[in-house]
Amino acid sequence: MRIKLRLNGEEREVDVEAYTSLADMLRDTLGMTGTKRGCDSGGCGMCSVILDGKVIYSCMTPAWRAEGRSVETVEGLEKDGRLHPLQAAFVRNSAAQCGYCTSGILMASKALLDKNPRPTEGEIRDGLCGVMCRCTGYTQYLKSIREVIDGVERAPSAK
Amino acid sequence: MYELANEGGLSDVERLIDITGLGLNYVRVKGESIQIGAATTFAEVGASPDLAKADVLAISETAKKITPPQVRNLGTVGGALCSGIPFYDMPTSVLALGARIKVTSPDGERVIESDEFFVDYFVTAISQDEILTEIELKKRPNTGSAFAKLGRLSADFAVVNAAATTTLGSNGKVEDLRVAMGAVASTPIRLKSVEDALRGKEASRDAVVNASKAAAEIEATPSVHASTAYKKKVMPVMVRDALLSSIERARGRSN
Repeated sequence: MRIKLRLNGEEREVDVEAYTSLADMLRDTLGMTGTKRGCDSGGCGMCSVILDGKVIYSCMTPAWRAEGRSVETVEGLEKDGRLHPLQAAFVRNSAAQCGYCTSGILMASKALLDKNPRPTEGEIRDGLCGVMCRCTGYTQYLKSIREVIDGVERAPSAK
Repeated sequence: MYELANEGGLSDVERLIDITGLGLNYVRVKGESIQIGAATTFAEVGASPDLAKADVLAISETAKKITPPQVRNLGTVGGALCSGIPFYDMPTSVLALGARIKVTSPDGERVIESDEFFVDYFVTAISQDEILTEIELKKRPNTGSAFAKLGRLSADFAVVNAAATTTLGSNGKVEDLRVAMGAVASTPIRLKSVEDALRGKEASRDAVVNASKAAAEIEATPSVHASTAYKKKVMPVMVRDALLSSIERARGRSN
């Protein structure tokens, strides 16, 4: 079946099968491999994307459910060559080890801050608890998100 | 599901019908009843002002405690009930509230009382040709409801969960109550021994603690995380917490 959706702000039309998950449509049909697959059963959070402003597991969402709706993935964060503040903070704080969970964490954090620009520590942890980082890089993630909330932007260090 | 499909695991499924377009996501109030559509997500339930009332608060409290946000945004009340999984949180609260569960088939609609709904592991009273459409709660004056959960982490399935609905009489005593627990048997269960021990008694902490002790009589199903002996220790505590919180809410409403 053919579905129409708004993907990272662009209108797209995609052919999908009834059994295609949103994650597979993004990765295999559209070649957008920023969204990762991990457990394929809603347990690890690698596949987190934003559907109509809400963070969801794309591995558990049929692709056709995106019909007429807006989908945001990690590929849409950078605008005109400028990193999203969350991405910039992650880079600044080396908030990645293996990097496999990074896009999931970024999308979960973005959904949280879009809805609630000044979350409490508890709300940040709740917002992230659906994405597992097995390198245990959570400390740098939490620090980065806190910096974005507080508007901290360090000037790039001179060489 | 997609993995199963890719491996041919769904080959005996002739048709898979999406029911999310049926308009079953709503919370509405009709007279003395509050109706929750089966496809209402936990996030929608948690945000509903109609469910932020003392007598039915266990439902939105349960929805808000479900983690992570990805699941609150996708998971639905109807799904939580139909799966028949005995350690889910929402079934325990639905049972403690004595909700009426509406199902629909080509032959029409019927109502299943929550006491009759949960049959066995993964088995509910819904027939093959029926779908769950609505959960109906009754408004009750001088009533509070609450949910309590013990998990290893907040994001885990319950080791044990409990929910209670308590109605206070004009004398301040416990007029009526319903207490339910999850993760202790093949379905969520009513704790009638606890209910009988507290009905008609003072709504005091001592009376609640005393009545909650009866929860330890249940030979709870052990799991990899918790033995029967351990569950027997924590069950009265979860029941106590749910009851005390429900009484507090009942009092707030009666003012």
